[in-house]
Amino acid sequence: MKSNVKILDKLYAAKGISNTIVLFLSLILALIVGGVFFLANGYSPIDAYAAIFIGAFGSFPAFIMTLTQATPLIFSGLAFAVAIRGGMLNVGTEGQLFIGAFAAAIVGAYIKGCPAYIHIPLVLLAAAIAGGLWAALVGFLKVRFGSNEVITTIMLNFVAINLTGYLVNYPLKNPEGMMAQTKPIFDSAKLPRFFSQYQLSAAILLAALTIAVIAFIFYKTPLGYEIEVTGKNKRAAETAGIKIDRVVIITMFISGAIAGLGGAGQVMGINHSFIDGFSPGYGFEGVAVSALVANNPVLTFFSGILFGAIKAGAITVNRIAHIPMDFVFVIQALVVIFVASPKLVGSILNIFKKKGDK
Amino acid sequence: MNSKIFKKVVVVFLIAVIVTSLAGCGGKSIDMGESDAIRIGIVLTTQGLGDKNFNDMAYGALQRAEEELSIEFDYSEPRSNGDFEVYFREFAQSGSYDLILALGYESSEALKKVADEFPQQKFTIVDAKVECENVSSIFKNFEEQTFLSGVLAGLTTKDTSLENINSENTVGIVIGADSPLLRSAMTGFTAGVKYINRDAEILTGIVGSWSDPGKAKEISTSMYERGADIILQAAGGSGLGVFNAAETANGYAMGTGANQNHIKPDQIIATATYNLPKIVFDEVKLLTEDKWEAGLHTWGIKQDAVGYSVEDSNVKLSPEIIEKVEEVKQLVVSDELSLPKTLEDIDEWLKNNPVK
Repeated sequence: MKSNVKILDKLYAAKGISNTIVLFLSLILALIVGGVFFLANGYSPIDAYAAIFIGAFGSFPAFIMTLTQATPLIFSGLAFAVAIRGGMLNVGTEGQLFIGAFAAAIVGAYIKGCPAYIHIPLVLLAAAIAGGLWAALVGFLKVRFGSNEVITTIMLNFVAINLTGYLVNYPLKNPEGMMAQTKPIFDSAKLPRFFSQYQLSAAILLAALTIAVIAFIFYKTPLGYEIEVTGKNKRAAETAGIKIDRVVIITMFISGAIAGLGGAGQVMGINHSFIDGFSPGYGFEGVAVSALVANNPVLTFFSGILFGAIKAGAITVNRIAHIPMDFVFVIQALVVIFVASPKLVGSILNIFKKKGDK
Repeated sequence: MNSKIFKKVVVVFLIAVIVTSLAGCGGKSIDMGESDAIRIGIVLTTQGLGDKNFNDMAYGALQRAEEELSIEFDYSEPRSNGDFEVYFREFAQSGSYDLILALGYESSEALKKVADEFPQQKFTIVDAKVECENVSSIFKNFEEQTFLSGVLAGLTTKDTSLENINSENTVGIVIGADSPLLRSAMTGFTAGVKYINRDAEILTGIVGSWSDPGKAKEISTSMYERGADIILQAAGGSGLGVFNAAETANGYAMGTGANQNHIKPDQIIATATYNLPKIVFDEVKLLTEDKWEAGLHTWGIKQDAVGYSVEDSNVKLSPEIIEKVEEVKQLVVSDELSLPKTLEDIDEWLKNNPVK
């Protein structure tokens, strides 16, 4: 992804076309190609996009829904971005999210009697450490045994999802009710909501805060510098005296901790317990969120909101237009593909440019 | 690739795309819900459409209602168990639905939360108990669903003229999980068999999973070896293992839910059916007639919501057996026979209810 950005810079720096335009064009292209998919299946693309827009921004509840859907995506996008900055492809954010959510649910439901200002940080800390260690294991396996982190993270996703699934179906199942979920967390562990009737919680502020912390680490501390250098060129980093093994493990820990916080946000703000299989793939979508903004940690906040809007719109479009949600995910994928193929967009731009010259 | 050709391809493609997408505006238009018809919203389970069971049955029923009662309906397919609340709220907030339907206990807690927030909105949930002033909560009596199949099995296991029936007076039942709901399935089956065939022995097995046909096959094979000739499966996806075991061990089997007889018509003699389409359709019909009511509703044999079916099976049972089962069914329908609620009650119940 990084190299793509460089190509972009080279391509457009001279011509004075900014990355923003390319990004915008990629979005338009994705919408047009997505429109063909809609058409081919007999839906009017304009109506469908209108419905998506209404569902995402059309009203106050819709906008709240967008932010609610965006919250876990910002976390997982940031988690992926941090890892890839350090040269690690962390495809395991989904599993880390589950582990973090599970730790949050346990600490939230089984530690009793402390006030919220102690309980909430405690739960968040547990989730971050659990998710972090889960991911750090991957870093350890990589530096110690040379295992490929893509494979180990994918495999650990299965372990995390099924392990928590087992625990919540059997030993830790809430005896009340038939659903496979943990006991509800205490009120002192719940993140406050902005409005009582909407699910949007302080988790989105936590996401912004996390981004601020990460930005500080990356731009103001030696550790951030070490992560960047290791990610750009391992050998150079090693020559410069950076202990890359240590950096790899720390990078994965930070990435996993962020994903774990994302899971905790869902438990503490939305569901108030760990529900078996609660995530419809928030972790995986983090890859797209991060890719859209070329893995810039700060910008994941906005691309998270964009993807949240697509999700919120998808729910509405599914309801009122009878269009399966999968269509909307096709568009989501198209956006990423076009953004990740700057040369394609560049060629298209060039055509218009040359015509203009004639 | 030659870059000129590439550019031309791109231009042509783009023009084609833009033209077709503009032309397509006249295509299927999206109904935003402004008509006067009764409007139903249904939140399906996470399995979604195409499950050949719960969701498809409910969807089919609503399609029928669309034609016959001229209602309109919209549906949503949540992607995870954490999504239900969002979907219910999405439907309720829009304010354009006369009734919001939910399926299965997985969504019951989310439904209760949202139903409390929107007291003016009517909700119906099938297969879960939700007590709320604006919720109609429909659940079936599982013991009634398996009872008639039990009677059928109790009679058939003595009919040695059938190819796969042995001399032992033994039948079996395999359930997916040890839960109160499934224990009531066991109660119904046992009561049915014993009611008509007091000396019969009933073997029971628990798979502990809804998606482990291998284990279900092992369990049922050992049951066939121990003399069972008919086994009823109430184990969801694991149930296929019971059917496979029936084929290899030359036994008979029974299905549960939507009619399963066609899966292995030479082995499956009947299905303990669950008529979900009727439940959904009737609930919508009540709404159109302004007779919809909140509260707990139990559906059983009497309402034709559960029963048994021998359709599509290649095993021809004797008319006397079917006649006898129908007689017992009438006793239940006319309230002359009420079923035991737990396994422990069965002995007492048998004493009080001699075969008529």
